[in-house]
Amino acid sequence: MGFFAPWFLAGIVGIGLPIWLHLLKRHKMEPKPFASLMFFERRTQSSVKHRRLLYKLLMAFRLLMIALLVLLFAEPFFRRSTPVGGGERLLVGVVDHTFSMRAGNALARAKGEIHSAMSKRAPTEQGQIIALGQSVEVVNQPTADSDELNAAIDSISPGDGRATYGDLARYLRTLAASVKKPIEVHLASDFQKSAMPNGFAEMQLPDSVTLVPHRVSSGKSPNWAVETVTAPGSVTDPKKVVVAAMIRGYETDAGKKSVILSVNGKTLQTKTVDVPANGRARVEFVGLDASYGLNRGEVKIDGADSLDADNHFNFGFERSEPRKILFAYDAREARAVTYYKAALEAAGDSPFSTEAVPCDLIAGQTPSKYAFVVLADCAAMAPPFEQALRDYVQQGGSILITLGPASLSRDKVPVANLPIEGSRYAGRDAERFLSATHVDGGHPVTRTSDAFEGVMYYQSAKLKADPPSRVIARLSDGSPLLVETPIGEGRVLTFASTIDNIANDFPLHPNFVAFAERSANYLGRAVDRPSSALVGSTVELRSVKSAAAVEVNGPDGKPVMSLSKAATARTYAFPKEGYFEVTRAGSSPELYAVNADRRESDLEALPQETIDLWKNTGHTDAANSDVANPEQAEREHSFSPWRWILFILLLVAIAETLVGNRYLGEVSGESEKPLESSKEAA
Amino acid sequence: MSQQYLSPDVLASISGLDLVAKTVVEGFIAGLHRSPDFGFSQEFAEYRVYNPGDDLRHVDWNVFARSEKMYLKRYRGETNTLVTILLDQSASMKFGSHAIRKLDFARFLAASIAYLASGQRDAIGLVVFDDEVRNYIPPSGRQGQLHRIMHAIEHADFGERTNFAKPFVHCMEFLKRRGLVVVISDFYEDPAKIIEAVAPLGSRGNEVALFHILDPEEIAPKLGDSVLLLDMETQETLEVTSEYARLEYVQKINSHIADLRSKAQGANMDYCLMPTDRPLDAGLREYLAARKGRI
Repeated sequence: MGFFAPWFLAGIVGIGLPIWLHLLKRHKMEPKPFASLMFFERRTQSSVKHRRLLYKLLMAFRLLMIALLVLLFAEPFFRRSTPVGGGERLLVGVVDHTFSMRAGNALARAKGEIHSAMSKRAPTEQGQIIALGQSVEVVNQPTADSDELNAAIDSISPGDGRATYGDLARYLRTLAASVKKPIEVHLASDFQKSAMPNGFAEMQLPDSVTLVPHRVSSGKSPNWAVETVTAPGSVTDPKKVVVAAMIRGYETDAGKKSVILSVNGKTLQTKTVDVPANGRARVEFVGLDASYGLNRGEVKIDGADSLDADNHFNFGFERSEPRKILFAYDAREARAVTYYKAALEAAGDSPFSTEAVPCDLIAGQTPSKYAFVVLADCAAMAPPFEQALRDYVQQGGSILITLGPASLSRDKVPVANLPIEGSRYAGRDAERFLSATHVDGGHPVTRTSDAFEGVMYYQSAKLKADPPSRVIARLSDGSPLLVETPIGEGRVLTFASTIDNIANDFPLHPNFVAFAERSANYLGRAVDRPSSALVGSTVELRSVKSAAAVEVNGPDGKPVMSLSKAATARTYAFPKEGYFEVTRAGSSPELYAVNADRRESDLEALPQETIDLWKNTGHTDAANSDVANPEQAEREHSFSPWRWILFILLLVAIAETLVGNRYLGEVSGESEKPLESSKEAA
Repeated sequence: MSQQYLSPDVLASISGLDLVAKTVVEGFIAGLHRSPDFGFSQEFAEYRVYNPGDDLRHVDWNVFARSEKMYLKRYRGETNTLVTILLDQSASMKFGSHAIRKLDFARFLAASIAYLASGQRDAIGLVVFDDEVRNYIPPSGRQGQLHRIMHAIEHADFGERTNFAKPFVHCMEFLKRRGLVVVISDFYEDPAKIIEAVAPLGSRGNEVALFHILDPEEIAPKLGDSVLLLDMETQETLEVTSEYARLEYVQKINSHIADLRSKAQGANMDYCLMPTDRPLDAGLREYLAARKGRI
């Protein structure tokens, strides 16, 4: 028996407190002065004897409580000896099948090492196989059947995932807690340096686990990799598209690499790039000629190296025609069209094109043909067209409304029906201009709080926005500047000023470009989907309420989920590299190009010292023992009885309370009938 | 008309021992209805026919001159009586279960007797004792004696244990002349030993009166549950039960009182039990009435 915190034993002196209280300061029966005891004889009542018994019991409980408390703080532990070896040991074989194990024949060697370790197992010992990939996968339950274990090892296939040894240690800690016997873990891995977790403490092994590492790679192999590819997920004008690729060399000498861009298996461009020794280089391809619809792109480098699997990088994109925006403007002032179109074009490869129509001619248009509608200070609209716009929004359409001098003649904002309470000409007031304050940074249109920074507003409409309308930004006088009004399935954004550089100078600010692009994407429901994803990342298949089936097809074009899972799963984690197509009900398919985590491309191995340190976090004695001839050695485990001490302490505290109550009750009962005594104390 | 006695609690509220004594005695005398001749010394008693052999000095020659018959004039006291008060100030006299303690009551009693004697021009002396003689004022009829007595009584403080043998031996030396010896104590001692100690005073021709001062709680204790009692003289503690105090103790104290009364009377002494809740003047009156009858 020992103590984790023996200095707390000094607290045992506290045991003197109840002794002092009970023996030195104990409650005495208050003596009653009497003239003479000449005619008295000593008599003791049974209740007094009982009380004395209670008194001693109370003191005993108090002493015990303090002793237990001190013991609890001192954290005693016992060393338990458990036999090692024989049928009491569990042999766990861990095969690393992460992406880096595709290098050379690392995976085959790893399997061979685990086969070898399992074959040396005693016939009565149980074994278990674990595959360390994107997650820790238990291949079989503990068994003594060699055939089953060999089949489990053979069933492990190359993977594209990435794991850290922290994940394995966490699983082993859980396993040790559930398996009450020594565990010997044989880990066959390339021991990549990049597989180290953030903190070494995460690799802590439990006492009952003995780690036996099997290194299957030298860790000095040079490797080239396409590290990243940056490409748009949606393309409308292929000529303007720029695809950038980063080529990385690990433990490589400086050299030239040919980089090939291909789409749907067709090589589009080839470039040669100089890559410095053990460094990286960027390659840009301008133009991405592809057919309309979903396209599978790939950037790859030529030549073979240690790990060929990372010599290419997948990306996917959708080519589509630009969607039209119906831009209605006041015929007297057409500058709003100019600024808006210029801003969208400046934003890059915008999926929208603008079709400008004067307000008085808008009645002949069909809103449903457009991605969304912009009403730039459009006051005069035929009632039928306004109703058509309202229906359009109800069915999911969107409108951006800007309010200028013409709109102020109305008492309500068209479609959104927000009351217009007047106008504000700041130039006539003392402050000369207004500025935007209280910007909602969480809204997609004003994602950054500086969306309207520096803009001076001279003229604005005073809107009254009640729920369900949501004020996204306010002017410095507190009036709403940008309001979103949900109507049916659609949405209306109302801007309380103009975008013609008259009522404000917003169009002249760079933020206007971001505003135009974000508002267009938001209103047009354009999805800014990335062109690639990592193995292990997830895609959301459905919302909580939706029960519609979602189909996910793997790289081979076959569904990757069962029908029941496809009907219920909310997310899907990509298990390997390749192109995955996700088809939701009522929408066009989405393409996800999945690549392995490129941290796996760095094949540099952990130094042996680090592996030894890791081994030492667990039990080390048995690591050197002969697996084939396990001896009946004794293994010591620390066992802390703090739970039991705490439980006993609780019981003693309850008993002390009960006895104390009874004792005090009897003492106070006596004091209720005091003997009248002399006025002076004896 | 019923006599209105003075409650001990009322006496306790009066400041000044001489005032207490005056209040007791004058009220007591006023209640006697023209009986001022009650006291400790009476000068004239009766005439008796002369018989041969009688002392001629006692013949009332004035009567003989008028009637030519010889009568002897009889006196009950040749001179004024010498009253000596023995006041017990032992620690047990400190006890008191109500407003007045035993020693306070004893003080009132002693002061009242002294005041009464002084009014009859008797010589008064005082012995304050516990296990020793703590204070002694020789009997005297001089002016200012009462004041000295009162002062000594007032300053009688609580002493140690009671020991009758030792102080009474001293008293024997002090009391050369015959007179009245008043012993005021709670008499926590074997009655035989008390009488043995006091009896020599009586054998010298002294008249001895024992005033037994007891608190009502001492006569009939009302203890609660089991209680730890502290002897005020010996400081010993004793755990006793209420049953014992209610039954056996009462029996023992009553037996003690009866024994003391019996032995005192047997030794030709006056005995008067004075519980401290009893009006002082009533007790004093009872004693004097009994003494008159005996005389």
